[in-house]
Amino acid sequence: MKILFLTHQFFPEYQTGTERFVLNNALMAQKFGNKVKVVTYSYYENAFYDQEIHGILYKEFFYEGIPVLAFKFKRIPENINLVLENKNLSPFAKSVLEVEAPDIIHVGHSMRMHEFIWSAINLGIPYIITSTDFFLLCPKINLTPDKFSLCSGPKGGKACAKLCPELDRKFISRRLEAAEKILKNAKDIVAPSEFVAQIYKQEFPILSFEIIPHGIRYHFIKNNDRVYDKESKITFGYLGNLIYHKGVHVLLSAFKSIETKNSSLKIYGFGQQKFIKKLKEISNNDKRVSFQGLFASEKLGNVLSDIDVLINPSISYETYSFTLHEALACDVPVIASNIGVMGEVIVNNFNGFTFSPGDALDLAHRMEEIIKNPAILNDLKQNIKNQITIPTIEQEAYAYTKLYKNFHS
Amino acid sequence: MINELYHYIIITKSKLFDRAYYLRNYPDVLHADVDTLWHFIRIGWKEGRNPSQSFNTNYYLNENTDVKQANINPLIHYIKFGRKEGRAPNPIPHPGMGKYIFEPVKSCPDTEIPIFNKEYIQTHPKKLDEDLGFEKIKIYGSEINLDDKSRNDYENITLYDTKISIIIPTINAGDDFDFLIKMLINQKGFHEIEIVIVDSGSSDHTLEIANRYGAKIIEIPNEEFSHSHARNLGAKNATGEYLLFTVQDALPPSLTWLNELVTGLKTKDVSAVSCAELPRENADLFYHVISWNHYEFLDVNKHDRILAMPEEPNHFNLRKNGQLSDLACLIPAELFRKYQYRFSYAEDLDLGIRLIKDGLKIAFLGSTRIIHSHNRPAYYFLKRGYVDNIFLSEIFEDFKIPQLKLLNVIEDIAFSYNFLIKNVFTKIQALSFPIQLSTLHMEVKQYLGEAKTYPYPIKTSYQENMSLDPELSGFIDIIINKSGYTQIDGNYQGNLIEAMFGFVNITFEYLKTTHDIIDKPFIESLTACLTKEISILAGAHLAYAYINRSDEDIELAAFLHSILKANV
Repeated sequence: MKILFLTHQFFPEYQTGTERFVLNNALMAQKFGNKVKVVTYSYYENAFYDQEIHGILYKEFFYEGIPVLAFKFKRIPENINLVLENKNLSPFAKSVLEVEAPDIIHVGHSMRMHEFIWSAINLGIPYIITSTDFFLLCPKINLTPDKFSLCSGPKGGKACAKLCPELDRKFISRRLEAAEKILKNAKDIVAPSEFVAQIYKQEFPILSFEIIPHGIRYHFIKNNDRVYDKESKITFGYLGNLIYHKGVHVLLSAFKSIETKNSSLKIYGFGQQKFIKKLKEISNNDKRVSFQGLFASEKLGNVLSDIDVLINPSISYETYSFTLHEALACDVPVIASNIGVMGEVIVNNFNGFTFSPGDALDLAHRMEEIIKNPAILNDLKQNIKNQITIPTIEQEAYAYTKLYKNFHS
Repeated sequence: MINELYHYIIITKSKLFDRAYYLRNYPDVLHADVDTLWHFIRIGWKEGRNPSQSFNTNYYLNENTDVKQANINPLIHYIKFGRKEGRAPNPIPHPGMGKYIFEPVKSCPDTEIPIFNKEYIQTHPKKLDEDLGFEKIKIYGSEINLDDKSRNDYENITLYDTKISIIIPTINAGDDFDFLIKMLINQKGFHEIEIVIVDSGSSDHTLEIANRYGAKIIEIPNEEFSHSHARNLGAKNATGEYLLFTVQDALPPSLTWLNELVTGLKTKDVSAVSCAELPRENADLFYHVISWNHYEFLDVNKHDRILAMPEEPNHFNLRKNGQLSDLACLIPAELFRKYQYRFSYAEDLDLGIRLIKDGLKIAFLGSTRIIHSHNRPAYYFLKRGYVDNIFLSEIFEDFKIPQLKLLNVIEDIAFSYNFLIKNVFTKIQALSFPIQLSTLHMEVKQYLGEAKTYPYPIKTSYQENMSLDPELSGFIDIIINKSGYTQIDGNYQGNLIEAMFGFVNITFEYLKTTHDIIDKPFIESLTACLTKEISILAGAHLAYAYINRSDEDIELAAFLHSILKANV
């Protein structure tokens, strides 16, 4: 079987959760005996591409043994990240599908890739969609009307009109119609968490979703078997991008307010220098806080062995969160904002604690509870060890393989 | 310094340096907190770092020896001269270039209706807000109802009011064992699941993990272990109506896996059922090839099969129709107790054959699989090739044994590893990549064909001179020394390379299912795979020679037999 993966961006240019999901599944589908190719939009400088046809630059290369077709418009359309159609891309998309002749298309992210879906519908090529975020519902992707708020879906455009009045009503209405058509024509729609499925189903109740949680690469996982007593020093950790909506500033502010020498905070991740500078200003040379930079993926187990509690302070919806699940796979409890998938996965006093998103004081209280009584982590770790199962990438890919086979004659 | 400043200006103007790319790919530079372009000019290019995705420093230097010899910054050379001279900044273009051909549409606007509400934007100018916020996040809209569950795998499964006993022989099962047990006890659709561990001397956490999940533990001394005995003992202590035999390093792919096996057993009306394996993410190419080939032989890669006694019960048909697998073998407890396992090796195949010989049917599922694989060194497969063929000759009277002499096989082994590494692998690595799979296949066959005119090697130490796993090269040195091998004049007279053609064809048949084009990094996997293939063949040929042993080589044959039978 030949499977074409579509995604809005891909390795090595971008390396967020969606790219990991697409790479993991392409790798495993290939290992399970299928031909695969990833087709992605890209933003490399023009010299990178070795082919140009009618204003579209493209290049084929391999990433970790996976064939990749990366393309971009020579003149990038102004609204490419907002719209769900772009007729100028249509002939290219049709040509790619005709030449590659996939048995099935797996859409990992549809932004900038919609013409491939419209062409697939016209050519009768079956496709499945994994909704890795809310892009088909929301041009702002993550249901964030502004910096300090989240919404629960467009409600037919009524919520957009109220909360995002800068967007044209007709545009929203037409965009939702197109989104519904894309979703309805999919052979199957998958969400990595119940939370994502429910947001979509609120908007389109007729849709049926299958839940397939993302898998993780277990050979990077190492069990953190530390046992705690009342004297134990606690190391909190953050792993992820250093960008505003991840809420690291909330975490730093919370930690700064805790007066204790018995704990420390390690921040792992990468971001723009300007933003990191702001974060460092918040920590104000607090020697308990260290910025550790990036780490190689094979070091994940070691990094999670060095921290006692992972903190996910996101102030926007997370649809899955690889680091949260990787921490649980290593038996590390989590404190997370009570929104999105974190609110679905983290249960207070069972495998961690939740707090009100953006509320540094609430987060500080949760951290203090652990600092004052580190032994509570022992029970949480036992619960995680005995009762939580985070799927492997083989298990995730197996579930998808069963779906592909359903639609491949 | 002035020169460096000049380079800084030239590169900046060229726009061929991508700071974000550099930081992403070289995190040490990020930690060092230095200007990325200065880093590239002063140190980076000398360390082979690329200034952007579109310029490959090492490729440019290797392709342009004049630039390399002049020891100048290759990017500066490219900007000033190379670009005009048509020198390539990156490896050769991908095969199949220019394959996407189309007529453009008449240029369309990005969208036919406006996206933004101009009136609103004009009256509400965007605030320049760079401050970090510390407010509670407001959430608009209704609460999300997480109780209205979406579809999952186990909402439509059949429920069985029965007890299943899962029997696992263990020894130092490692950290993954925890995950396996958790997946097994949480399998959906059964009244009760019992885990029975037969442990032959674990010193790691195996027993602690088994205890934690309430498994029944039977401990036996290590020397008492055999594949049959351990499993029979587990079965004796099991209390379920059905027994599932599995292994300590397998992993069910889902929580409905066991239910699918039981449903397979019942709906197909068979006496026992097994399923195929699905290699783990880190399984090497060799494992994929042998696993795929085995299931092609059983004809279960694309569907399930019900197996019964063949009309012509030769060894080929019996193996094709009597295969059960201990990776996952489900059988009613009462039936199993009548038969039990026998032998210290291939006890699963033996059980399957006995069942079909008694007129019962068994099933082998390809649609349901279990995650399992091993990455073992080439030496293991040499031993495996040996033991498999000794076993087949013992249980199948019609298993044909080629008439080979031990000394000739050893000469063949000395030749074949040397020929593969020095001739075939060197030539494969020198090909231009990426390359069409079919072209690579032809090239490999051509290089193998050169064996006819390739000289036998002088007596040498394989451990010191060949890039093989140390146990394998150590073994080859032993057999060369023990046999008194000396270089043979004349053309190659052996059989191993001829046999390799068959294995190479199987390898490329498998690769046809997954690849059209091969890139260079893949070649390391391919040569490692070919090394394991020649090893399994070498082991088989040593077995044939052992079976044909005569007075002149009986001592050497007995010596090799004792080494090769151990620990497989």
